[in-house]
Amino acid sequence: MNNLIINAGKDTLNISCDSVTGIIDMRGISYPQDAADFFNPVFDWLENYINNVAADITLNLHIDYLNTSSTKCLFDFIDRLEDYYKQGNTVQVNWYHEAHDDDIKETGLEFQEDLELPFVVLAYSKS
Amino acid sequence: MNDDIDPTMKKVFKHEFLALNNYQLIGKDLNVSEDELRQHYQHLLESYRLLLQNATKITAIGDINQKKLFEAFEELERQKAILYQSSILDYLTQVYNRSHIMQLFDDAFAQTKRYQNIFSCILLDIDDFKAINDTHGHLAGDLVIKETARQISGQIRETDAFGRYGGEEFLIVLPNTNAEEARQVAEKIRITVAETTIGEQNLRVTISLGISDSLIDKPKTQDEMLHKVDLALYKAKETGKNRTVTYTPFD
Repeated sequence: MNNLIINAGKDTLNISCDSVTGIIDMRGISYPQDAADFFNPVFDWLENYINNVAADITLNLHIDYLNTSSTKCLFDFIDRLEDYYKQGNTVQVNWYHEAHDDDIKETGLEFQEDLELPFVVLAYSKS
Repeated sequence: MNDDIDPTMKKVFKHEFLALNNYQLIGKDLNVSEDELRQHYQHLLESYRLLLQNATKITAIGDINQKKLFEAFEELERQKAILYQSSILDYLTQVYNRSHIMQLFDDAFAQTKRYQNIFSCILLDIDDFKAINDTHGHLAGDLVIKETARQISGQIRETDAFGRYGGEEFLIVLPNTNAEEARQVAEKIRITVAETTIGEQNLRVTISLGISDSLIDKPKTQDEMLHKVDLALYKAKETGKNRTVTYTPFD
């Protein structure tokens, strides 16, 4: 199965999905005209991975800005991961925020709330 | 209600719309037993609970992001203001720089022409500045320029504009002021500067000032008017410095 790489646009995230390691990386800002359209290939990749590879998944999120539609799409994505986790698979979500960025940290904590899959909020320092 | 919704949003909420349609169909199905209905109701309740949970989270995140966006916008406005200030001020004296005082001079000239009123300008220069630099060094020279600018700023009126025109030369634009009124301002400045001691070395400087207004000789262009103030300043220097000279056409 193929890897998926989406390069960041002016208003879209940089996304890379690795079929061998099961690592999904999302970084940047997201406020596309059509969020559902943008995230569709990522959902397709995930379904494909779940059905054909069915191994561990790590989702790394380095988000700077999400508009509301993108937030909804990311929720759905994580919900899908949660279902996969509840079926007995290993899933880890890492939400990264710059040490001083309380807004992004809070956003991560909002995502984390009520989720049953492993979801950690991690600070990093800009070097 | 489905038909009124933006198709883009319909895609974002496709699972929720699908669920709604399914439950609507179940509600219309007469063959569904009471037990099955009860079960569907439980599922519906669970989806509703999830939807509400997500809706509150999305709203909270939306608010955080909006705040972040507005803060970034405010910071941008702040930076813009700082940038604008530094683009119009002279770094050493913190009075208007040459390009900005010339802009204000051009504006005053254009307005005077349009509304047929009057304005004056004063061009002034620190006397024997080269000697200060040569004797006391450039740092002392800079201090003299800075302090002189400060003294001038304290003497001009609120509506006057004042900027550094060149090395030790300054230009003052005085709207709605004729040459005689400008002369009173100029003399106040001249006397104040002459009476001020500067720095630990107690340096003293004098200034020479040239004046003209927009009616004397009716200058047609900005350059023409500037040339007249320049001539007046030259005459002040020639006739002994530390004095104010108003341009007269017959010199």
